[in-house]
Amino acid sequence: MVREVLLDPIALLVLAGCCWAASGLASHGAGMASAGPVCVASAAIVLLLLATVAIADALLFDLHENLLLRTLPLGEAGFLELRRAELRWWLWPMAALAMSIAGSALGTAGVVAVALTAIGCLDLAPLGAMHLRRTAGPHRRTVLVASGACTVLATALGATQSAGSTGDVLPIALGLLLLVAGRWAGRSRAASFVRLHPPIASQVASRGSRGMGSSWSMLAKALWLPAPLKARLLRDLVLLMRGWDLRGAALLALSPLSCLYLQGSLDVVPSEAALSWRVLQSTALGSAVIAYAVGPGVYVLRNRTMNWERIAPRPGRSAALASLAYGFLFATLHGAMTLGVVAWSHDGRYDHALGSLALPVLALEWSMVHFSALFSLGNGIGQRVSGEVMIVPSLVVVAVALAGVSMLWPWAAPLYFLVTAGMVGQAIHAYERVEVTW
Amino acid sequence: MIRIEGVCKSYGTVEALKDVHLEVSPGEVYGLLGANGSGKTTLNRCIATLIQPDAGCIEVAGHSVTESPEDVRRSLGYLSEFPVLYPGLSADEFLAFVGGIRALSDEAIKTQRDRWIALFELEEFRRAPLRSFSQGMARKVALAASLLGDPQVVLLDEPTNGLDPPSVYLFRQVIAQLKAEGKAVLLSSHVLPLVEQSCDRIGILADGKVAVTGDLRHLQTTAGKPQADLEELFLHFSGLDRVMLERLAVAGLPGQ
Repeated sequence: MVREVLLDPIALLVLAGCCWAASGLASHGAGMASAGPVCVASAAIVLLLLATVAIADALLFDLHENLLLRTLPLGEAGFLELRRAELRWWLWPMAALAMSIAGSALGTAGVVAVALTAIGCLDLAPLGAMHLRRTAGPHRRTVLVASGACTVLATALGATQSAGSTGDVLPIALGLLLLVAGRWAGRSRAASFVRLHPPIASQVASRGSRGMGSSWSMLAKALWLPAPLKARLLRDLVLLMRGWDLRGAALLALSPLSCLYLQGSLDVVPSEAALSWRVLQSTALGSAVIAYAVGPGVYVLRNRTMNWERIAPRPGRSAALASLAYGFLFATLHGAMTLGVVAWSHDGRYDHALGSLALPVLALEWSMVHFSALFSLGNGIGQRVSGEVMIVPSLVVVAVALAGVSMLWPWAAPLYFLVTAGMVGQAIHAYERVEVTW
Repeated sequence: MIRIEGVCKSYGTVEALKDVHLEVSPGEVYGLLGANGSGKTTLNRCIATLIQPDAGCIEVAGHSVTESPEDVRRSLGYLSEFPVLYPGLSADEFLAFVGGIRALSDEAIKTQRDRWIALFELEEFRRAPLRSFSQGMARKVALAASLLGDPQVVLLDEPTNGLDPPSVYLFRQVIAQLKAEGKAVLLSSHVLPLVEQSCDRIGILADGKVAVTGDLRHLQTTAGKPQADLEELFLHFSGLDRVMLERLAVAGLPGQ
């Protein structure tokens, strides 16, 4: 799991993107008033602590393999050490994110404060997770989310206040305090864990299964589509919402950053051509991220149960339609956001260009998704997509070609779908011919 | 309903099936026995259009799996040996998904789903995530999914893995009902009492071929062992009886 997620090049790209976006927001927050840097850096520290507790809780209690691990001759202390080692892995991306926030706000002092916090969190988080389970029980997630929300709110309010220069040491003091608390807790960690963990873990293991909520039935009522298409689309959306496609979810969540980029790049626009080019550039950036999210990763997720789909009527056609519908949904939303930025940013200075930009923007969005979804369907072998990395350079070629065509002949952009009509048939054929041996 | 003639299938240099012949009629339950790796699952996958045979002909409900796979799929229900379910969906949602991709109406999905969920005593867990299900409970959901849409031909690969005795009893009643409704059932299993009790005819797959086919009496007569039980007949026809005795002798254990 750690190797699959943290060492995945796409995950590293996502992390870099998150750090970039977070540092941008942090710089903005820190510049609001004199208390801004301290508030933002302190918020980063508190959010890091909360996130680490949430991860420790999942590692100690939610993983199915814990049942097996607890039957091995590791002992409670051995189990804790194993999970701490894993927690260390999950901690560093969180720490990197917090450091980019605190560093942007407070410079080196912020980075040092987060580093101290991270070391302290390693010891504090498992104990914190256990106590949270004991005290808050099923409401622990609400407590964590509410605490996070309060921190963000307090930061937003506090960042507008004035403060003396002595306030700058507050984050360092907070980090130091957490480090000392962690070291202190660490000394009695094993004993506390051995005492507290078995009854809580036993309670978790014997707890009846909870219901899944009603997201499926609610969406089913909202979608008016033929049954085979609706079932596939619901499956994809529900699994995405429940966190079974984490990479896809992270990429989709990142895609609106292209709109922030666009807003910044529209400050000074020398000509209409420059406006079109910047809008298409931003569209290509965001739609490439969406295309990757709705391409290979989600294909592999769907593919696990391919033997059910392959014995259903018209499997290839339905799978292709559902993949495209899923991709077009997010691409259309992103396209609307991009056009929204053009229409409403800078006091509507560019709204006159909306009519001429709408078609090229939407065509570019849909084309990118179309290419990625059909490439994945057409190159699916077993439980992977052959040549997955080829999607990235191919998307660049598609994006540049389409953006160029859209600039020169905006009406010609939809011709992409005519030119690539053969891809649909090829994808359907490949999907229906792949040997399902799993 | 199922007609198989001269089917061959290889994976690289490994010949999984060599000239398999088999027929299952409407209203018949056919038991397919075979040692591990004898090709039962490969044969099931060929019939279910999941893999293509290298040679030979397979017809399901009068349609060829290679020439009109679409028609085959419309009349087929298939429970694989290791059915994969989405752990993030509930039993209700997974059955709605399978019913949906089989183009059933919402009403039909609801009626059929409720029927199987009630029969397999999953009412209490129908909204729980499938990741929390035991092997037996997941197998019941998969079995229900494979029977959605009222298929005319049903392929069941090791259907009772992980089921408790009451569930196996229920499962036998389900098979009897399918037979009474005129459906053709191909049941692959290592559970010999289940095959003996449920199947009209039995085929033993050995070395990629059907070594013998017929009812229990026919198998006994062919083997020249009128009192033999199915286990003995299985070992005899799959050529494993001598191998087993040799292995037992090597291990210093007395064989019978």
